[in-house]
Amino acid sequence: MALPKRIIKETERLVADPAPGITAAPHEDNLRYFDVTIQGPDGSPFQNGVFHLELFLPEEYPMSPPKVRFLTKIYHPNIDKLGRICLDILKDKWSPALQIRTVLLSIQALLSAPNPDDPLATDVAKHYKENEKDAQRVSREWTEKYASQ
Amino acid sequence: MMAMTSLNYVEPPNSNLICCICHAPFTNPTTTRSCMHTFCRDCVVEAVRHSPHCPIDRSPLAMEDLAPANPIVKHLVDELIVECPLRTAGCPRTCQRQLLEGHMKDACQYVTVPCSEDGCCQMLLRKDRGKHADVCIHRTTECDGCGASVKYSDLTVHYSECSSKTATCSFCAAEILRSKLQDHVATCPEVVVPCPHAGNGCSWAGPRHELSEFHIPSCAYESLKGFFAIYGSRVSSHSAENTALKQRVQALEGIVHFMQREMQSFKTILGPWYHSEVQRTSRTGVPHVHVPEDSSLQGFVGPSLARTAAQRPPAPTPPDLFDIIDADQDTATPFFLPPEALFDSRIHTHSRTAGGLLDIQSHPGQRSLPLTPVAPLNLNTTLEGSLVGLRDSITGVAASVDSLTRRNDIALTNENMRINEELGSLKYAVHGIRLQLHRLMMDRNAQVTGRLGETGSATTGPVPIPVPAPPAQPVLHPPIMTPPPFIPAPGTKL
Repeated sequence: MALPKRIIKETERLVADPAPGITAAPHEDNLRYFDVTIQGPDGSPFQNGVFHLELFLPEEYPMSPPKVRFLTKIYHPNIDKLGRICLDILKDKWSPALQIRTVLLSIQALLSAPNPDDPLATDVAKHYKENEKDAQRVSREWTEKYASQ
Repeated sequence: MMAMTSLNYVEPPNSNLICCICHAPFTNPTTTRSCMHTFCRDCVVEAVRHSPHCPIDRSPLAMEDLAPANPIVKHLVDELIVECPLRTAGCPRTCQRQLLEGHMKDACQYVTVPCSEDGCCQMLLRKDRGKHADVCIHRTTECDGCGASVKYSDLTVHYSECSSKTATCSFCAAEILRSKLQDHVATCPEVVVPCPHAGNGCSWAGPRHELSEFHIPSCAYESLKGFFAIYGSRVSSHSAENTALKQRVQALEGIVHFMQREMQSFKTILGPWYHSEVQRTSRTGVPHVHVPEDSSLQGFVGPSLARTAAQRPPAPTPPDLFDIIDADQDTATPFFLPPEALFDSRIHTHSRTAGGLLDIQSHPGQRSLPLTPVAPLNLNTTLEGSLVGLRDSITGVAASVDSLTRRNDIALTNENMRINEELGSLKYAVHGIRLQLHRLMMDRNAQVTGRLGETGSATTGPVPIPVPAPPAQPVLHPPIMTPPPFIPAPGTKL
């Protein structure tokens, strides 16, 4: 099936005018599959880390949300060890008015503001709730260990 | 309709005219009534089908909340300048988006269209259609010989039949116009022809030019030509006659058939009286001769039948009839017997000596048994005979009725006379008795009032109530009345 005009336009814009700290490039053999990198936001435990993600646009896109997953290990209460992300706009809060760029910006924001009250990785969330400083320390260690260039 | 989302816009459209779902300028812009957001109609319908929320602010949204956008929005997007989608094929055209459809339909030279010639299914660019029409094998062209309109692809076939083209005679190899070929073959000297006498048996066949030169002088049938001519004319006249005769036979057969049908219908009408000629001759006279002599057969057939078949006896005269009745039967029955029975009884009386079945029927004891009032029809005679028999029967019946009437009259008269006499005698008797009574009353009065009548008082005592005198008593006065024709019986009441 031909690629919808919208996906082509989004791809062109992501490449030509990328959001700060975010890159996204489609695979040559599958234009619905993107390699994504997100820089850890400044002032967060993930600062200076570069996180790799994969993003896939399903057939129903933009009526269905894109599927996004962290490939880089990350110590974050809303991201489990398989890289799955707990983010409402990737699930029930998806809207066809959203796009790849907004999704990636939301993920970047999630790194700045972890939300342990809606956890996916329960042990990490517990750690963040009980001892945020120590948890942030672990996050920094993981970032240094797995996400440094 | 082409997909509007795939169009290229000459200038980047205003971002306010972009649908957030397809990221292209609106197609059929549709605005939500609840939150006033605008989308392409197809896009928002699809989105609401997936999730009933506005894609922009997530407020609840149903299909009913969708309405066409403000016409201004529609005009703005319709007037956006777009490139022809066939730009890659070579069309340089740009136009307002709303005019694009017309351009594609009629004007764009780079649209693929089918060849307009009948039977050609080739698809080609509109701009190439003129070029193709000159070479299309389905185009109509004119035959340069006869001028007929022929499909280019059929031209070769046409040339092979066209009368304006030359053809080769297959016998003499001459090149001749096809229109003249027929005439040529009729005269071509090389054509193989049979001998003119082939019908009479000559088996020769050869080129036409050899016929008159070589064959005819030597043909054995040539010398018999005259005979064959006469013979042929005779045969033909015979066959014509034969045909005429056949027709006549057919007509006659038709008439015979019609007659047969008529005959059949007559047979049906005549019913049992129909006898074929053969049956009639075989039985002529037989019943007429035998029946009168053989009374057992007579009984078998039935009295009336026997009579009909036999010599009919003359209708009996009334006196005869009376004699028979008086002799044979009580007086009552003959009145109620049909005339047939009367005839029968007479016949039986005379033929009693013959015995047989008839005796039983004629026996007085059997009289009261019901006899057949009307005899069955005799089917063995002709219709005419039956009619004659019936007529005779009617005559007999009339005579019987007549005699019965007369007899009735006589009997009535007799009876009347007798009753009149009796009445007269009774009148006398009553008169005598009245006188006697009167006398008695007088006597009594005399006894009561005085000594008037001493004659009868000595014997009769005083009686309070007058009682009729017993007949044994001596009459005390001389009888006044004349003696009655008969004396009343002792018990007669007055």
